[in-house]
Amino acid sequence: MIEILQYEFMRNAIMAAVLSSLICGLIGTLIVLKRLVILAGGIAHAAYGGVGLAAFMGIPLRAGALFFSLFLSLIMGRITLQKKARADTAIGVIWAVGMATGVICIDLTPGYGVDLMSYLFGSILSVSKIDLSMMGTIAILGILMCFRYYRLILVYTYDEDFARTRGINVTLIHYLLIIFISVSVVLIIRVVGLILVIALLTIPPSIAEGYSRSLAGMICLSSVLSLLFSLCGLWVSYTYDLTSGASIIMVAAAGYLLSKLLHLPCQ
Amino acid sequence: MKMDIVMENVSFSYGNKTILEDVSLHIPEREFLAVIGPNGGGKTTLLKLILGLLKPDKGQISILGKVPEKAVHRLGYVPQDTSNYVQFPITVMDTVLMGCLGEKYSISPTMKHRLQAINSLEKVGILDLKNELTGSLSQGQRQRVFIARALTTDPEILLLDEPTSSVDLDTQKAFYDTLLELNSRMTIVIVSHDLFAVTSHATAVACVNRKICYHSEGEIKPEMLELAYGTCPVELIAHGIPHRVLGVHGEREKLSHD
Ligand SMILES: Nc1ncnc2c1ncn2[C@@H]1O[C@H](COP(=O)(O)OP(=O)(O)OP(=O)(O)O)[C@@H](O)[C@H]1O
Ligand SMILES: [Mg+2]
Repeated sequence: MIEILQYEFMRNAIMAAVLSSLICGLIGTLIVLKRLVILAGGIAHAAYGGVGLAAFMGIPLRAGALFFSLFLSLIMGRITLQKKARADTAIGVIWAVGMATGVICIDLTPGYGVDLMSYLFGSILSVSKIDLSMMGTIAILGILMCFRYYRLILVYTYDEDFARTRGINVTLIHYLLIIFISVSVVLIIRVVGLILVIALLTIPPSIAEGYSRSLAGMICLSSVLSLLFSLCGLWVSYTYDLTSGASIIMVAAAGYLLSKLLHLPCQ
Repeated sequence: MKMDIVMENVSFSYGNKTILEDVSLHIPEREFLAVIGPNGGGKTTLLKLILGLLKPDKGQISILGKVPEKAVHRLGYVPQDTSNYVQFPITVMDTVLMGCLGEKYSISPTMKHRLQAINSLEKVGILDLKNELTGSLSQGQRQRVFIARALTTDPEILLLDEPTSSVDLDTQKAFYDTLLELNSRMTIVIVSHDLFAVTSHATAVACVNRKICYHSEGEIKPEMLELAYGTCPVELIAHGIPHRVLGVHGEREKLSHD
């Protein structure tokens, strides 16, 4: 087990797992409780549209993904804020259009092949130092904000109407949260891929929900679970020479199943 | 008399469905206003307009002499439906503590805030539940948690939307006594279908059904029942609303005995 640490790519992969677990534990808890999972899915798919557009226009891919996701996420944020019935349907449409934009743009860009598989599953084993430092920044920012504004975030997450009656600017918090989700998701996708992001955002919080007594507890437990799944998944992937992203998801899914089985008798 | 809540010719509609039409209401300081009316009559909508959660299409609303958004933090609110708060990891204590956010929003509340929360929990008689998960409580218990949360905000105006619809009779009585006591410090607006409980405490009654029929004594007038429940108040009277909650109704009373 220890000998894998001698490889730098392994140390980077573990670091990436730690940072994305922290970020996903925090954001995942908020989006699960606020029922914004579909919005996060929409952002993740819009990022591919951004990658395609950026390739087509010849600008850096990361910037393209970031701006396109931010743009679409603000539209989706507006839809969710208004709580129109069928907000999820509208987001589903944006989600699909975002993805299709990416595919068509890449078709139209001669001699350009953005590897769809690496976008879907990422490549945690080839994480760069820049990726790590950007994820580190986001993680630290997220944790600091969470400590500083915990009760504000709690009231917003629990009861928007009540938050408004306390004079809290719910609209501002909502958009800030969505911008934060966008930036994080786009960053993490580069590292672990679209499918793993969605898995890490939803599986640990939905397990943690059943065992938590507070928002802070749920965030911590989600992060720990997320880290546990990532590290076990990495180990499985290394030992049996399997795709890392898919291995992590399978471990997480096994954990999910296990927790539901354990919970059955109490319900 | 100082007016706490003033609504002038307010209209509100959802889409093209008019909910409130040209409604005017003046609620003086320290009033105990009971709001009655049929389901879908617009009672919840009225409270949300007062809170500034909804914006009127026409007309003016002024709360404590200000626009609703500027005064809303001085209002306490108990929502009608508490069932969408079930799936959330939060204890009763933490829920009630939302009523006193303080300035710093940090994770651990101050001792003063804790005492405030404990005090409100005691008032609604659920201090022993303070470490339970709010989502695991019964509906009536949860309603009491939300009442306690509103009390913790220490408001100047307290708005309650059917706060006792699932609360047992003993607690209801204690609760109305608490409201009476609070009424010496704050204006109270309570939506309720329990005509008897309401009218034995209220200093004014308003019936909402697209229009508002307001009466500044704690009595239900036949006109209100007409607005609320159709054109035949007699039937309702015959169904056992105690006569003493009704004002002088001459002809109609005779009818009710037929
Ligand atoms: N979010 C909404 N979108 C569209 N229509 C709504 C919405 N909320 C309420 N309505 C409509 O507004 C009308 C008044 O609703 P409101 O909740 O104010 O009634 P209420 O008097 O509180 O009734 P109840 O006694 O059932 O609580 C209803 O006909 C309802 O269908
Ligand atoms: Mg209502």
